[in-house]
Amino acid sequence: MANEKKKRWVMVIDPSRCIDCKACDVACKRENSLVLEGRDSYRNWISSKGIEGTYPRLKQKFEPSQCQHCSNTPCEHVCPTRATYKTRDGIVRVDYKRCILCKTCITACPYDARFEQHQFKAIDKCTFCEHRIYEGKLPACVDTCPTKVRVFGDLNDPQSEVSKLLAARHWRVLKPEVGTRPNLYYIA
Amino acid sequence: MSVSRRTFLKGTVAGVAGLGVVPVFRHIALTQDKIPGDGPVRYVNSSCAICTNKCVFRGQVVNGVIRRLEPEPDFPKSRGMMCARGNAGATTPYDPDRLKFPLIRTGKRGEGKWKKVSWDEAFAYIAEKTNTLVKEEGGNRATIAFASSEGTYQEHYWNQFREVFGSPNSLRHPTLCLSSNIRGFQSVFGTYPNADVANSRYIILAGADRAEAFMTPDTIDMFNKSMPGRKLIYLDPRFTKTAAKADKWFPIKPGTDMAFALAMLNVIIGENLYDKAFVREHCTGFEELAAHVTQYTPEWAQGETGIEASEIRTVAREFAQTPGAVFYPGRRSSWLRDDVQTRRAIAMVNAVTGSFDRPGGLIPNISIPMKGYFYEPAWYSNPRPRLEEEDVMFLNPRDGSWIAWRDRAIKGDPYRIRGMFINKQNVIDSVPDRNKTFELFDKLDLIVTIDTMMSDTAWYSDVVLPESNYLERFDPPYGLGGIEPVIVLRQPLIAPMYDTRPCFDIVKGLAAHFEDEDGDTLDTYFSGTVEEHAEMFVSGLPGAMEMLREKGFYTDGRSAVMGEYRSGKKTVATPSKKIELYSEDFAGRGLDPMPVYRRPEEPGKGQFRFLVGRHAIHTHSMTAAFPELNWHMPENSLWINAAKAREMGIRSGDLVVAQNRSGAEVRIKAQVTEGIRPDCVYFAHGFGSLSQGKPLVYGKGATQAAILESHFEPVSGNACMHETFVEIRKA
Amino acid sequence: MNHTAFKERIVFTPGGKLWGVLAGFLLILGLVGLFNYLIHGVEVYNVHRQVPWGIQISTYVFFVVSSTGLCLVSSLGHVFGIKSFEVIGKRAIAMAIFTILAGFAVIATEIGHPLRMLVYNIISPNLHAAIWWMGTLYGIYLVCILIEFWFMMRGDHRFAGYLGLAGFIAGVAAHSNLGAVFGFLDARPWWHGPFLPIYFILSAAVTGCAIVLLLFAHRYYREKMPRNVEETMHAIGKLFCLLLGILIFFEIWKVLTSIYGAPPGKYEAMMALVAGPLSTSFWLFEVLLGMLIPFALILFTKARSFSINVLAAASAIVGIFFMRYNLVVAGQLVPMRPDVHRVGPDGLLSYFPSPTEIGIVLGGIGLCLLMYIAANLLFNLDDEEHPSEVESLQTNSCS
Ligand SMILES: Nc1nc2c(c(=O)[nH]1)N[C@H]1C(S)=C(S)[C@@H](COP(=O)(O)OP(=O)(O)OC[C@H]3O[C@@H](n4cnc5c(=O)[nH]c(N)nc54)[C@H](O)[C@@H]3O)O[C@H]1N2
Ligand SMILES: Nc1nc2c(c(=O)[nH]1)N[C@H]1C(S)=C(S)[C@@H](COP(=O)(O)OP(=O)(O)OC[C@H]3O[C@@H](n4cnc5c(=O)[nH]c(N)nc54)[C@H](O)[C@@H]3O)O[C@H]1N2
Ligand code: SF4
Ligand code: SF4
Ligand code: SF4
Ligand code: SF4
Ligand code: SF4
Ligand SMILES: [Mo]
Repeated sequence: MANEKKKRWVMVIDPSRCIDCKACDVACKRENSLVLEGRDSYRNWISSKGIEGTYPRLKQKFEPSQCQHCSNTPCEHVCPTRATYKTRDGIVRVDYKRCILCKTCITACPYDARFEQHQFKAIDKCTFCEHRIYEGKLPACVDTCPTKVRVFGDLNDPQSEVSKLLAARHWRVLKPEVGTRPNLYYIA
Repeated sequence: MSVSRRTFLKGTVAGVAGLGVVPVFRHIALTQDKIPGDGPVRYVNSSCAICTNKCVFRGQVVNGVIRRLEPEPDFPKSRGMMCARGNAGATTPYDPDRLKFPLIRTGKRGEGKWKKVSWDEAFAYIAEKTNTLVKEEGGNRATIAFASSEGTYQEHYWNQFREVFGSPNSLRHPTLCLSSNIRGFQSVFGTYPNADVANSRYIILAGADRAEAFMTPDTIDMFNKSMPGRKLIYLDPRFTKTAAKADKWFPIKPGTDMAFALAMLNVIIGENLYDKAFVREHCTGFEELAAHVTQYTPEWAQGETGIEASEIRTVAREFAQTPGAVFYPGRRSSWLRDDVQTRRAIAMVNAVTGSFDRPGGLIPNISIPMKGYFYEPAWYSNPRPRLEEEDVMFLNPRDGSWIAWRDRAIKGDPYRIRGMFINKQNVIDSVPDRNKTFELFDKLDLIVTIDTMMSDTAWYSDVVLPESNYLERFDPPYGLGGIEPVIVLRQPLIAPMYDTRPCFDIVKGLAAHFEDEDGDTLDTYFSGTVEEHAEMFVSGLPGAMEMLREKGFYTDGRSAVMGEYRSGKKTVATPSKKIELYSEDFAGRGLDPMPVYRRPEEPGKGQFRFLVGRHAIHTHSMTAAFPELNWHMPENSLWINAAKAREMGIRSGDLVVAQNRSGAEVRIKAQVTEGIRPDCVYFAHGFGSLSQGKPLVYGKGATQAAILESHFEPVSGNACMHETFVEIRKA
Repeated sequence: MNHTAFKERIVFTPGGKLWGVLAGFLLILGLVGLFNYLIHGVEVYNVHRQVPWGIQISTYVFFVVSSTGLCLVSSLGHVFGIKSFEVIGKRAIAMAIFTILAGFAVIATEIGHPLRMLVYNIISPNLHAAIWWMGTLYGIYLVCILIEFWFMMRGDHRFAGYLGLAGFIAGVAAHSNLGAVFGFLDARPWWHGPFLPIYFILSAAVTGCAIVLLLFAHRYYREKMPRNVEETMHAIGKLFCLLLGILIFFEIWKVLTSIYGAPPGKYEAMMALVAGPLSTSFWLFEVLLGMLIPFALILFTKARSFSINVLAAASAIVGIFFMRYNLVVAGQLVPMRPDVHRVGPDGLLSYFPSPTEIGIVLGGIGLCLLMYIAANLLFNLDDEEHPSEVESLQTNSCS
């Protein structure tokens, strides 16, 4: 791997396809064997303002999200023991055994992506399903999605679907003003 | 199963918990004590059993524990997806509340007192009671009724058992679901076709909530944006997630979809927008229909539906002028008393625009031919007909008509029903008007239920037999018709964890305790093993069994060829061999040969129409206690229109009482929302369980069946679930 | 000098015993809380995914602010050589040790892996992380003031002075780093920026003054205060008042800059304090008790009345405790995602400490008091160069 080209794993999300079915959440929990410890243990979520407007002129939008695997990584900067670290391919991970559960990273994350998971006795969050992607499999939330809201791939590979999508479509990132340079892109 | 330290500590030293609030997720925690850990993944492909779609998954087994059911990307019908429910199925074998061994009731019905017994004890007990009942009824074997739902791929063994036992009284789910839809479309097209959603450029959905009520592949094809510029027109009294995705949402007045369809016909025919060549070559009765619909103008329909005439006109024109437009047939049509005719009107919109046998239109299903399951029939000298044979125009003898049948059974007319065998159907929650079901149960001396969980029905049974979980089971190949037909298979990911059995073993075991008229025990009718049947079913398809074993499904790549009806290669299966816009058959039976609109009854002052409908998190009454799904939706609540609620002083979270016209009521929390018509209320299915064997939903929220009134539609025998009016008051 | 007699005067009196019983009771509450936590885990805390830092963190901040403050005030004497302040040296440093130990005790029940922290802080340090610096510097600081105290007890004022300087530097560094723990969080605009490090140092000094006043009020509750101590207390009172004035000034600007133009994130947090769920805690405790009342009291009496000074100090300490709570909690009430289930109709998250959390916090206070009571038993915390005993011998016979 050392002399392989570095990857830049990114996810491109088309929220207009999302039907708020929560398959991504349940798939993530099973793939990663997350124990439900209460209302806080989840790695991904669907944001929505609910039904907007007044009957009968209504609309509703859904925006799936998870850890943004920020290139400029506030959770990593504040972590005293380097339990939070970035892999060479840009995935932001937590080394459970180094985490002291000071929870500073939770307060540092502008996306509410982190939570305390007792099962691991550590902070947890999305791993981009790192254990799958080097086997050529897609992250669980990606493969299970009925409408294929999420597209995952290597942005360093110009032939990848994500590269093509980002080249062809208008996109945005969440909270650009906080300067985190996320690796989750949203088709605008 | 290792008990985690936390759970252990919690159990032993719970005394000081008073100091802080300890949310007790006991069941969730217990289910998930079975953590697979890390290790090599063994994949087993099989087929989901959490809803009717039967998606094929790649089951991950790690250290002998099921970790995840990931989608099989090659499975065409689900386009390689697994929904939330399918994913959540992975923990069902480990559910601490699942049924683990046969039980015989010791207390009163519904009291929850059980004795654990061996299978043989259970069989002997059932047989002894059953034989006594049959004897008491003068040898009338029809006195024992059989209820079942599809989905286990072993239901044919159940039917076989009923038949060799000698009872005609079979009650399946279709008359709670889509009977009227099938009947309506069949009367026009000779078949209940699928819509070619993937290629459709314009789709009208009338109360088919595809974003939440998953139907594969339609749900996926509808929302994955593979058809740029496609228009989605959605009619529903509720603002569902489909409404959120639709280009247009019309909050139609319930029960007036026929008026909408007739007005569309009025415009399409009146403005000469219909497909003249198609109508000329393939339809009969066009002149009659054209004359018939002149009365149904959009202006008229506006008064009925609440949808503006100009909107109806626009939709009709766009529909007729967009190649590949389809008026989606929908699925559950247990709505109102004129449902068959409503579905006919919808079918006719498709017919006159030629939206049949063409890309994007209605496509008759095809299937991959499998060998049938043959067994020796048993002959009885004095067979009795089904109870409700006279009550329904088109009665499918294997499905029956639940509501009509129950009315008869309660009255004992024309004969008494003394016992009921129920398999994979949660009768108490699935059949409208629970009080009537209880009335029926009170007349029964024996209720036997086969389930995997302690459903309400099991809870009120005398004997409960546990079927093995679908992830522990080998189920024979099952054919799924469609535009891209497939055959699916179920094979075990893990060995059965408890003293449970698959349906075949259960019925064969039971059969050994019964005799036919010649004195032969009924198990002599059951031969071979499930595996042998499986081999036999697909023996005409080279390589099929191997592919089924490996992939969990089989296809030879075939898909419905379009244009075969248009070219005359195939003919539609109506009496006239044409698409019937006018039905002689209906006319002959005294039914309207063309859909005649009759205004549905309106809710009176202070009344609301009660609607039922799906949502993406749960399946019917079956999954509300699945930990992960319960996490997303732990309780149901009554949707009530915001303006209306303000008028009534109801706020979200307030406890309200919903009372129907027969006086039955439920208490449930209100959810004030803009997303429903002011004259309707709604709450989701699956909650308010009476069974304490489902602790996560026991007494949580309310069940629809408690307040659904008992009505059925006499053409197809389908239940009418939207004929219920309720009054709402603060509790 | 008669240290035993002194102990009898201050510790074994009914009043002294009452303090002991109170402290013991608080400690027992804390131990019950701790026990509950050890059995049930963080479920017995009310902190959650969106508000992960609760009253234990704010109490920790309160304690370390107190400690730093005491160190700052005492260093005026033996580090910066302002003679009159030397009388407070030992007592202040002793309390600085106890407050920080209590702070560590409270945060140890909040951090998931306090022991793991000791190991990985050393073998896997992240030099970018303010919290690493804070932990490390507070460690150094504690060592410094411990040794300083030791030298003081031995009467070695030169080395005590060096260590005092080291402790001072470590303390200021650690403390401004504590400010940076919050100030570096771009995600939390209300905390973000250089304001907090400076504000922390300033409010530490305020707290230090207040605690010194309280300690000496306790010390000379039953006997006449020596003249030199009285003068020092007067000076401290004035300093206290001046610093309070500056703090109020800071606070006004913090409020104004957070509200003016409604800067996103800041505004909502500030409004949670001035008009939202924390408004009682803010106006009544932080503003009135914490700042305005003590400031007004001392201002109007020109710091001349020791008892008024003490009253002001007591009021300020209570207020400052809430000030810390407000700071920690308000910064988290603005949700990072506005649609999480915990967000209420006001658009804010909510948090209120659980009985267990409160118990542990009270236990921390009890622990601190007990250590101080014990220190009074074990050591002579009076300044020996100015033996107060000599002057107060007349009351000695009473005990
Ligand atoms: N109130 C109300 N009633 C309805 C509907 C509604 O929306 N509201 N919808 C109607 C429709 S469309 C339908 S299709 C029907 C469906 O109605 P049912 O067929 O009754 O479906 P479920 O309610 O899902 O109940 C299925 C039962 O089978 C059990 N089960 C699951 N897996 C197995 C298995 O492998 N073996 C066995 N033996 N049992 C198993 C489950 O635990 C559950 O108790 O309901 C109809 N009735
Ligand atoms: N997630 C999930 N998916 C499922 C199932 C499940 O349980 N869960 N069950 C499966 C089964 S068995 C079935 S039959 C299908 C059912 O799938 P659908 O046929 O889509 O049925 P429902 O969701 O029951 O009802 C659809 C909508 O009709 C609306 N409606 C009510 N009255 C009227 C009316 O008069 N006019 C119009 N236009 N709309 C009306 C309701 O508000 C509701 O939103 O779903 C299947 N898919
Ligand atoms: S699985 Fe896909 S469609 Fe479903 S909620 Fe997640 S992102 Fe949305
Ligand atoms: S989203 Fe949050 S947790 Fe993920 S990398 Fe960015 S700051 Fe860290
Ligand atoms: S909680 Fe763990 S991962 Fe987060 S900053 Fe602290 S040590 Fe690092
Ligand atoms: S990438 Fe994997 S870990 Fe991250 S949210 Fe998706 S499924 Fe969960
Ligand atoms: S749609 Fe969902 S529940 Fe139904 S079969 Fe497919 S995966 Fe299973
Ligand atoms: Mo159905």
